[in-house]
Amino acid sequence: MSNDKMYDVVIVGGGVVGSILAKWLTQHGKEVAMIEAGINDANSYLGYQSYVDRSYMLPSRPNAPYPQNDNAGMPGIPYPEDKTFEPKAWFDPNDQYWIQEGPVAFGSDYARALGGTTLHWLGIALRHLPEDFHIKKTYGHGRDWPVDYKEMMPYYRRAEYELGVAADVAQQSYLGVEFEENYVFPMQEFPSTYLDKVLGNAVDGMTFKDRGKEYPIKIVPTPQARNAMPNTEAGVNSMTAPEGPVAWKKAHPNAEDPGFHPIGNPTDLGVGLGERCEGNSSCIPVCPVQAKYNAMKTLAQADKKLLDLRSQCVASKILLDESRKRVTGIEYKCYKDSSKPGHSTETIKGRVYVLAAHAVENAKLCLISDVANSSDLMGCNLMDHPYINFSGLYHKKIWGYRGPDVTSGMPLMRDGEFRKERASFRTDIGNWGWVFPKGSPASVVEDMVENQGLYGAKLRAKLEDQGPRHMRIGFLIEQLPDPGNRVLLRDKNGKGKEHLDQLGIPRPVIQYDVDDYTLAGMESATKLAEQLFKVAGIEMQPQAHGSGSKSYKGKTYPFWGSGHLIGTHIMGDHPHHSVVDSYQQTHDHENLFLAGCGSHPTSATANPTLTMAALTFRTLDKILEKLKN
Amino acid sequence: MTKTPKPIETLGELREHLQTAIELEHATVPAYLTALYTLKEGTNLEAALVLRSVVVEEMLHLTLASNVMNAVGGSPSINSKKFVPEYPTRLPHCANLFEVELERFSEKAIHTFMKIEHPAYNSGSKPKPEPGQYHTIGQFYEAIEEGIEYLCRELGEQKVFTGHDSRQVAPEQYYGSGGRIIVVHDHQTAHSALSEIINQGEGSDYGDDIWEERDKDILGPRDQAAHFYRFDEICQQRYYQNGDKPCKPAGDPLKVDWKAVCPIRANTKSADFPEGSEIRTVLDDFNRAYKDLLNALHCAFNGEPELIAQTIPRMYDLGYKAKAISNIPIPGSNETVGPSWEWVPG
Repeated sequence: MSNDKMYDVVIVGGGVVGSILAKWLTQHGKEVAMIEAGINDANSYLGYQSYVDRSYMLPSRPNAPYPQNDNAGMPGIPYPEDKTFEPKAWFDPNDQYWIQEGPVAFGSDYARALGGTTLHWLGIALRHLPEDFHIKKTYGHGRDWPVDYKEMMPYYRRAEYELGVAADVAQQSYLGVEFEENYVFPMQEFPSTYLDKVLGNAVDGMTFKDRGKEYPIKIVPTPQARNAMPNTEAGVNSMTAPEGPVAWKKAHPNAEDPGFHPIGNPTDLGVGLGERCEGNSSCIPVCPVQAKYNAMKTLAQADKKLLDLRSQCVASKILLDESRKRVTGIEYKCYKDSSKPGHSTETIKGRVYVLAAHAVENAKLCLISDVANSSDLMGCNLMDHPYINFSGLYHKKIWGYRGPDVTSGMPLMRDGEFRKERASFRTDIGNWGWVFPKGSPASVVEDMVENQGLYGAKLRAKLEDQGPRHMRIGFLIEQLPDPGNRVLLRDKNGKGKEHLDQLGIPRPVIQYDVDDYTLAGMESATKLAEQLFKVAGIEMQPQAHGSGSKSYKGKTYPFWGSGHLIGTHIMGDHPHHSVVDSYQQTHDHENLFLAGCGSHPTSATANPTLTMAALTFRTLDKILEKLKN
Repeated sequence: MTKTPKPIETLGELREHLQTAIELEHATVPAYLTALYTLKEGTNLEAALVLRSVVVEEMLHLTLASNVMNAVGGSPSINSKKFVPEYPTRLPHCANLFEVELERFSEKAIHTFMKIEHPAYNSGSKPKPEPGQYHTIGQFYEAIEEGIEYLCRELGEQKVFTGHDSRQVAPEQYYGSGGRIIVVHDHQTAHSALSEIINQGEGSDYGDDIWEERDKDILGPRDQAAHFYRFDEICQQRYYQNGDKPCKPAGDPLKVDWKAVCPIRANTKSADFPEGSEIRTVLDDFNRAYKDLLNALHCAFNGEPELIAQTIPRMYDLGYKAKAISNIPIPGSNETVGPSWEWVPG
């Protein structure tokens, strides 16, 4: 069945990128269709509550509360759906929707449901450093982006106001990061935890020596896309103006400039909930009150009269005209029951098409359709931030298990001469005790009862003594783009059943490895962890296995994924070396955009969502310009 | 409530009226919360949200009234015996019509709440203000508005609004309700604050209008019905949608399980149980936590607005205690203990 209506823009994917585009395009009067492969539960209070209720019943894992969907499979939960399965660990390589060919297991996941991965993300919203945009030029590694920090600044501001980021300009101005005159974040800096302050005092004045240089250790608050006290004088119009707040105010001396107000729970019945973080400490896998930003808050602001939102519709093929220069439609499979293969196949048409289905699904769809791949780089350069973690027992009670997982870090080592030789890294100070990756408190109690034979008063005493001393420090390590790390298809033509999902669409295959540059970064981070633990008086616990591990210089480094999927359709100026341009328009097709982290040419050390949202605004402007002509 | 046989003509009378306003806004809260906390865990989610939404709006009104009172040089009194009603109680604006009880969630309780919100619901006709008596809270607030206007004319705005800004509860401290807190420092902002209370629909004369006036900046996919109509949605087990006529909701069904409720004894008093008994101890503990909350609110409204932050965990604590209490069986009966919301001396 064909739908002959010609929309202005067709968006594949109902996550943060798709939602930003849907909101702003419809507010500009454009007709938008959004097709989302997963289920639309997050839109209603009771639907979202079902996610919260599920999360209480399952051990903590990012995708745990989101029911597996055999028609829109996602990694990180058993596939096909196994209702008897009880996940025992943060990560299990055997229960994956995608097929991992290794040699190292890719440790991150994403969600396919309306709201996308922002349903389960932690909510950290950091900018890249100016240097991050050209590490090839400066350090001889990786790739240079086709935009620099200065060009990104107005888009970063718009993204920060869209997501609602809580931070303080003075604290975030390090390593060359600058902000426009008079810029303020929409929300005041998120309060640091007691744990942050205790650790801060313990390591005050410490430096880290690496490769002949000394780096100061300073605990700095981490910007959060999570409701905190608003900066009520922060005028939304001036702060998000392309020319910057000072110039805008000068040009519009009498114009309205409404202050920023945090958006809480955007569901039908959730009025008044979620307007501030309550410290539920369950951001991953789901914020019970929706104080944490998720894409639904943006989508709720779209002009509903102009938005045709279709969930349970899985894009299956991109159709091209004879010249192969223009996309003429997207074929999708629409299902009613996620556990059954029954579906109808339809086509949707628009003047412009945007794939916003995250890095792996974007690439998969293009590979299936043989689209946008003249560079032969579709799916290539898949990156994560391999994450190494050190859990410890502090020598006195520091009262973790409260607030968001990360309110502070040690960011002053995100850039330096060492990048000529090793990957950079960013340090997280974890507030959730041993939740990640050990599965505390359930696993801790289980261990005390079953392995240590404790019960009654003795069990309580040990928990009361140790629980408040649990802590962890984690490190996100930069990974360089390597075309050998990629998403590919094994059976595009649908012959081998084990490579197809329930709808008959090929499942993505992942090949992934971690190289010496990153391992050298892990080596340095490990040295820093050992130094920190010694100075602060923290008893280091044996490291958990990780999603993967590798040997480097005779030592084994276990690591996890950070939940980041980067690369796969990288941006660049030249069609031979990149898939999209700096506006995320494909080089090969004039009306097709691939938006998302897949466009990022390098991973640097910032969680990619804020940069991805910023680039979405850049793409938005380009699409509006195109639609005018 | 003091019977005022004449319009407000002095600052003293204005402040007295505002104190009464604060007491009025608070008086219904224990009744609504008791009903809310008797809902069994995990049931009646939608009804729970309705009750919660009305309670947070009452607290917004309470805080707005406190801001107005502070702005006109008054000092709200929260932590006194007088502030805490003895249930069952009559509310001043519907003195002769009915009593408000602390009782379990039920059709009877919801009907009482509807009468509180719209006294004319019971009598079937619009009440006229009589000398010395207000018949709706709306009339009461209108008298306050008129009083402020009169005093600004007679004394000048500066002489009326003498309160220091540092006593105002501001948006940074107050959130999580369906409305926005307003900092009051002059006639215009006082008018905004009082309009906000009146518009959110408590027994006001426009009673036929289902929908609250809405601040268009506040995000929300659904217009908020006035309190009376939200309770009506529970009663009729159906939501209102745009275009519906009053008392004829035609929207989606609203599921209510009237049986999934803790059978508390209405208007439980701690004196019902001997001193030193387990139940008495639990009730005294609840009432002490209630008093701690009132003390914190009192300080917050009297020059320390940042203490509002402390009241949040106290409210959560009170809720947990109330739910626990509602599950305690009363020996020799098929009822359970109700939270008693009593003032404890000392």
